[in-house]
Amino acid sequence: MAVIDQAEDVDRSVGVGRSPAAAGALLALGLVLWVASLPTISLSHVNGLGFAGAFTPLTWAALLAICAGAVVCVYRVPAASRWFWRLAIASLLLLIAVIHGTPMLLESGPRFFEAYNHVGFIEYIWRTGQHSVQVQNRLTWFGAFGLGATLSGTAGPPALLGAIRLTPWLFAMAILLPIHSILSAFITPARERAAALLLFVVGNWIAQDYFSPQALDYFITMTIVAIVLHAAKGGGATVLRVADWWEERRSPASVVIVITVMMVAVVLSHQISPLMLLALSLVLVVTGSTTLRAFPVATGAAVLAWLSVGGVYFWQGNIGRLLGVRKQGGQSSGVGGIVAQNLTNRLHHAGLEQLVAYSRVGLSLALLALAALSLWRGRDQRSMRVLGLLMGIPFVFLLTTGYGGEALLRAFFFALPFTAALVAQLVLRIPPRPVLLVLLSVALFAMSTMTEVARYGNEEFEQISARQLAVMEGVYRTMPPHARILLFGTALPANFKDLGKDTSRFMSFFTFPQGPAGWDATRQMFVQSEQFRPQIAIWTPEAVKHNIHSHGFKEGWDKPVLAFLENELHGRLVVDRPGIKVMSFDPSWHPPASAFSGRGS
Amino acid sequence: MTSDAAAAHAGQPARARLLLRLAAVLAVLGVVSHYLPVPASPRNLVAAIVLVWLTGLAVVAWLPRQRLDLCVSIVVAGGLAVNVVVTTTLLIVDWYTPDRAAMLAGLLALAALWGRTRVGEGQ
Repeated sequence: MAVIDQAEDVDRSVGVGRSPAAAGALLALGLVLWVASLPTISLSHVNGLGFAGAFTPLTWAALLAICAGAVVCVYRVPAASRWFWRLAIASLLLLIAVIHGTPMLLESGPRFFEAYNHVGFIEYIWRTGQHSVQVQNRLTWFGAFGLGATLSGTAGPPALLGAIRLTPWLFAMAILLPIHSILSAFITPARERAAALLLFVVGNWIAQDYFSPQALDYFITMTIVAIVLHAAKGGGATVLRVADWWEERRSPASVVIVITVMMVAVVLSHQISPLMLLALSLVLVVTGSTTLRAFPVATGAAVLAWLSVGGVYFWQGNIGRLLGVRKQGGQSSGVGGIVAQNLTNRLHHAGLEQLVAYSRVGLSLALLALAALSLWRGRDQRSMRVLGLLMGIPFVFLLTTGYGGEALLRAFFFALPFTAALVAQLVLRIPPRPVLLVLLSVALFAMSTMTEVARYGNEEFEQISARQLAVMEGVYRTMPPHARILLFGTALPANFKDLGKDTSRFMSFFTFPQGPAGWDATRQMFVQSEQFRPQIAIWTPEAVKHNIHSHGFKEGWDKPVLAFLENELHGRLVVDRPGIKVMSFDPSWHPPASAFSGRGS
Repeated sequence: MTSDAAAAHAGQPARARLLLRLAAVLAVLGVVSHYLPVPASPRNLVAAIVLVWLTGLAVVAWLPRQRLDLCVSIVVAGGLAVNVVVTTTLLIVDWYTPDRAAMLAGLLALAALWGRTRVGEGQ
């Protein structure tokens, strides 16, 4: 490999003497500008473009300098020099910090509302030692939540709100290790591997890296693929040459045991990730990239076994919906429904939100198109064909499931490492002339900007404030036993404590499929509120905005609903702060005002 | 065993013994940290890091030597996976507490590492 890198360097050696210094200076400049820009970013400027709307010129300048430093490093720094990987790693860490880290560093309360649910599942398992699907059907796949209980609770109660903030950073950095291992099985030149890692970081707008089972499963799945490619490498005979392919089978016992343990952990933790593991391992087997012929069979058997035993509660009564022959509450469905939910419906927004939707689709399609072009140009090479299959198989597999509105996102995320590998090999064909390097820096900057706009969770309505969190902590600390809580919110930090003790219900038009809709929505809200007989109601302005933007509700729809809660159901405002209201319907609940001024996150 | 496989396994017992010593130090650190007079959160954090690395070392010891990036991935992913499996098993048999799961995973890891040194010597 070093020989190839040195030969490669000869072609690029003219005028590269000062390249490490130039790349280092650009990256250092980017770091200084980014740090200097942090106090200038105001959360009040987060708008329909998410955090991109709050970035100041100084932040954008920092991002441009880092992109330029990364391009100079990849194209001009000699790959055999000791500076190459140091600068490449610095580029990667800085891009992660600016693109993925800035929001998490500045937002007053850690995102997402789903992560708070996961904290609640962990706390429930820690507290009860149970995994009852009666309490929450997502506990069908309780592996990751159980892991969280074990890792966070051996010395006392779990305190995981800080982990919500840190997880996306840690994941974005840690995932580069197995991905680099995978890349090294297909790509020899260090430049192309570094470029692929950069494209992975910059192209990752999916935000499946939050405190979640799917982030854990993604990491383990990519590690399994890396182990299979390195520790049980095949000779390359594809299934088309059956005799040779069958001859190459070999199952080193230690490798089989290790990846089986990992595969079982994946199966126990999330419903869709094992299918991705099955898909990727199937490609590796049929292309002769590994000698482990039976691994996809074992994975499929484990998935079916868990669905048949642990997952009965999940699919019983829903099989028609899961196979796409019946639709329920606007949720998925077959191929047509999944494409509609994932793609076409998401483009039906107005204003800045439409720009976000187009950025997501545009960025993904651009990367996939470039990867397809790269694949076409390199179709004579076996490694390129295998990468192409690995890129395509997640889409094929996920379109056959009933996963719903996130199916295409998940498929793109699993395809991204291989897409980035193909695109990297294409862009590294561009000669490193100064003008082209400037253009490449601008292109990488544009891509980074689109990712910042497109990144899930950056939107205004997804933000969680420290004030909301403090109030919700106060509610859980003081609420009456077995309280019934009605939540009007799309991104509330809820259910992170005492799961199973209280009964929470989202009057949500975002997470609850049977949510009120259409011309009759207000009356439906009255009926549902009355039927639920809440003791506590939580109200946030995000719900109001979200319904206007995403569900076509009219301005002012909230006023009659609030009036109904107050006058007809005799609600009493316990907390009335910007960003959150708490209403009590229980005459005996009189929490002190100090209960809601907690430390926040 | 083929010559390639034999080469891959050369020096494995010595490596396993080194990893076993490292794991033993981690186990002692985990136990000691449990009784330190500090709040629960930092003790939980130390216990989590120790547990993942302790079990991860046991996993990586059973595989042929790999590049550093893959080794670290295996330690972390392997450590997490072993703890998922142990925790899930205890939950299914209705015998789960975090302490039991951590203790069982740690002991399994030490046993697996010790076994690796013995298996390696026998080859």
